[in-house]
Amino acid sequence: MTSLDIVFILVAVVTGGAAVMTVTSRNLVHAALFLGVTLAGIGATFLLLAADFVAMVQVVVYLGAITVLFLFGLMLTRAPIGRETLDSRNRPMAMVVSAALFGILVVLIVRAFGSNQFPATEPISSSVADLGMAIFSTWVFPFEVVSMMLLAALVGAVLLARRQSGDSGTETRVTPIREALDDSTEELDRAPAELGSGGER
Amino acid sequence: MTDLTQFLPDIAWSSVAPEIAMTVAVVVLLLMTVAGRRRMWVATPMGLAIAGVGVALLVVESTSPADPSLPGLLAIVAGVALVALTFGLAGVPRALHAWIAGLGAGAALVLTAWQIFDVAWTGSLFAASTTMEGSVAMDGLAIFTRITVYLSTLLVLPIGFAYVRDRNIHRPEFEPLLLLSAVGMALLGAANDVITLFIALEVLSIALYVLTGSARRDRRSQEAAVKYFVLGAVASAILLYGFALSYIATGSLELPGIALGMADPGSPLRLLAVSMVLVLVGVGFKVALVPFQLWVPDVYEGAPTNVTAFMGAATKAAGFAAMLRLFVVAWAPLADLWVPIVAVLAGLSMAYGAWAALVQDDVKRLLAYSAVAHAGYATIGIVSLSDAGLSATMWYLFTYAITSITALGGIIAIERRNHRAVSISDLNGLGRTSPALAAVMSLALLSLAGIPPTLGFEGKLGVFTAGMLSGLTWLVVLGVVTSVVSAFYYLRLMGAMFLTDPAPDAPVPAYSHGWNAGVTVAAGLIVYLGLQPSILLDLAERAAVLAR
Repeated sequence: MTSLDIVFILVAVVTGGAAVMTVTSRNLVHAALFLGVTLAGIGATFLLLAADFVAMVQVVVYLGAITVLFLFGLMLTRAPIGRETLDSRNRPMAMVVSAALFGILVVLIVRAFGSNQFPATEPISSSVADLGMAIFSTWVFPFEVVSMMLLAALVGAVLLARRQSGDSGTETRVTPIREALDDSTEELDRAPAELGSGGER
Repeated sequence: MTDLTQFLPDIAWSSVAPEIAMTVAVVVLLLMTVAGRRRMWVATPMGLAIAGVGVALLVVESTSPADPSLPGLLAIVAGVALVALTFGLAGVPRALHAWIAGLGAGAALVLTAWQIFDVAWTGSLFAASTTMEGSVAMDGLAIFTRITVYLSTLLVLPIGFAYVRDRNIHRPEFEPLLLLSAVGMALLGAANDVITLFIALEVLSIALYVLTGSARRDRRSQEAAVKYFVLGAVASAILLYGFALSYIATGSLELPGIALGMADPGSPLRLLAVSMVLVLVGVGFKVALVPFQLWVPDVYEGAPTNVTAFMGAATKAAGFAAMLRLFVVAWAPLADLWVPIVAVLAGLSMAYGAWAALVQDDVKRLLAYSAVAHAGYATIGIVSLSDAGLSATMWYLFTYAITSITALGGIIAIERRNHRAVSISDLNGLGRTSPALAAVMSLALLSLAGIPPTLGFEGKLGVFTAGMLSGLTWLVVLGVVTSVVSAFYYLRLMGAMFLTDPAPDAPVPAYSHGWNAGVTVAAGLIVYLGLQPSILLDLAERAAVLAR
C-alpha cells in the first residue's frame, strides 16, 4: 500500500460519507453543503489521478458555482429550509432499490476485472494545452454542439422563469403550499400565493 | 512553436448542412424576439447575410452555370423570404415566428434531399462515411432520420399554431426550442461517437423537458415536465455510466472502435455486458420500451398536445436511430447476448402497450400506451439484425411519425373547443357533427392499427417480414396478436365517432388554416404512401447502410 493509496482511501471515505449525508440529511441547507463536500472530494480524486485541470474545473464549476446556485435557489424561492421532513413514503423502497443496484454493480464490476488488473502505470499528466488541442481538433464537433445545449437550456430557463401577463393554461390556480408555519413569522405565504394568482397584469 | 495547422480538423459542412439551416433559423428567431418591434432591423441584415452566403456558395461551389450549387440557391431564396416575411407579416409577430421556423425546417428538408442526391448517392446504395474526425456519420440511417424528424417538425408547426394561441401558452421561445430539439434529434441519428451521441441526446431532451412544461399554469403540464426531467436525467446518467464502462473495456469512444475493441478476444466480456445493459436502460427510456415506459402516459397526457405529437413522432425516430447505431454497430460482437434481451423487451412492450391501452378512457393516454406498443414493433427490426430489419425499422418509424401526428392533430382540434382533456365520450357522434375530422381521425386510427391500404400497414408489413426472415417467429406472432388487440381499441374510438349519437351540447371542433394544411398533408401522405409506398420504401431499403 503506497501513500497514494492511503490518501485515496481517506478521500474516498470522506466523499462517500458526505454523499450519504447529502441524501439522508433532513435539512436542505445541510444537504447542499454536504453536496459541496462530495464535489470537493471528487475534485481531490481527480488531483490524485494527476488530472490537475479537471480538478480545477471541478472545484470552480461544481463547488464554486453549482453549490452556491443551490443555496441561492433555496434562498430566493423561499423553499422550506427548516427541519421538516423531506421524506416520501417510498423511502424504504428507494433504499432497497439503490442498495440492490449498488451491490449488483459492485459485484459485476469487480468480477468483470477478476484477477487481470490493469497494469499499474504512472498517472499520465495531461497539460491544458493537450486538452485544448484535443477539444479543438478531435472533439471539435461535440464541443460545438455543447453550445447548442447551453442555448437550449438558457432559452428554456427564460421560458420557465419569465412571467407574462395573461399567461394561463386550461387550469390555472396553483394552490399555495402551506406548511406548518406558525403565524407569528413574517408573511411567508405571500410568495406562493402570488405564484398562483396568474402573475401581475 | 509547433505548427498548429497539423491539428486543424476537417470540417465537412455538407454533412450537417440541414442542422446549420435549422440553427440559423433558431438564431434569427431569438434575435427577432429580443428586437421586439424593431425586428426589421434584425431581419434585413440577417436576410442579406444569408443571401450573401448563398451568392458566395454559388460562386465557389458551382461547377458550371448549368449546375448551380443547391445550398447556394436555397440560401438566397431563404434570405429573401426572411425579409419578405418580416415585411409581409409585420403586424402578426406570432405568425411570423411560426413561418420563419417553418422556413428553417423546410430548408433543412431540402438540404436533406440534396444530401441524398448530391453527397451520398452512388447509384444503388448510400455511401457510408464519417466526417468531423469520426464524430458524424454520413449514411442512410442519418439521412433517413433527418427526413422523419424534419418532416414531423414541418407538420407540427402549423397544426399546433392555433392550439397554443387558444390555450394562451404561446411564447416566443416556443419555436426556437422546437427547432433546437429537432436539431438534437437529427444529430442523434448521425452521431458516430458516444460523446456526440450523448450531447445530441441532451440537446433534444433539455428542449423537450421545457416544451413539456410550457403550459406553466397547467398542473398536469408541470407534473409531466418534472417527471420527464427527473426520470430523463437519471436515464441519461445511467447511459453515461454505460459509456464510461465500455470506454474502460475497449479504450474507444467511437462506435466502430468500440466494436473493434469488443471483437478482441482479450476484452473483458463481463464489463462489456454490464455496459450494454446500462446503455440499454438509458436508450430504452428514451424510446419508451417496457419496463422503462412509466413516464410515457403522464408526459403524453400533460404536455401540450402539439408537443406530444412532436415528441411521439420525432423523438421516437431519433431514439431508435441511436439505439440502432449503438447495438447494430458498437455492440455487434455481443449480438448473441443482447438480441434475446432486446427481443423480450420488444415483446413485453407490444403486449403491455396493447393491454394497458384497452382500459384507457383519456384518448391521449390511450395513444401514449399505443406508443409503447409501437416502440415494440419498431424494435423487431433491430433484433432482426439484418439490412432488411434496419430499413424496416427506419421505415416503420417514418410511418408511425406521420400517423401519430395526424391522430394527435385530430385531438388538437377537439381539445381546442373543449378546453379540457379529450375522453372517448367526447368523440361521440363526431361522424355526424364534423364528418371531415372524423374521417381524418379514422384514417389515422386505421393506420395505427395497421389495416391496409394505409401507411401503417406498410410499416408493420416491413418489420414483420424482417422478423420472419431472421427466424423470430414467436415475436412476429406476438406482434400480429397484439395488433389484433390494438385494432379493438382503435375501432372502439371509431365506433364512438360513427355509431353513437352526439351529445346535445357537443362543441364543434375548431379548425384553422394551419391545422387544415398540416393535417391535410399528413392524411394525404398516409393514403398516398399507403398506396404507393415504393418512393420512400426504396429509399429506406437503400439507406440500410451504416458507417462502421
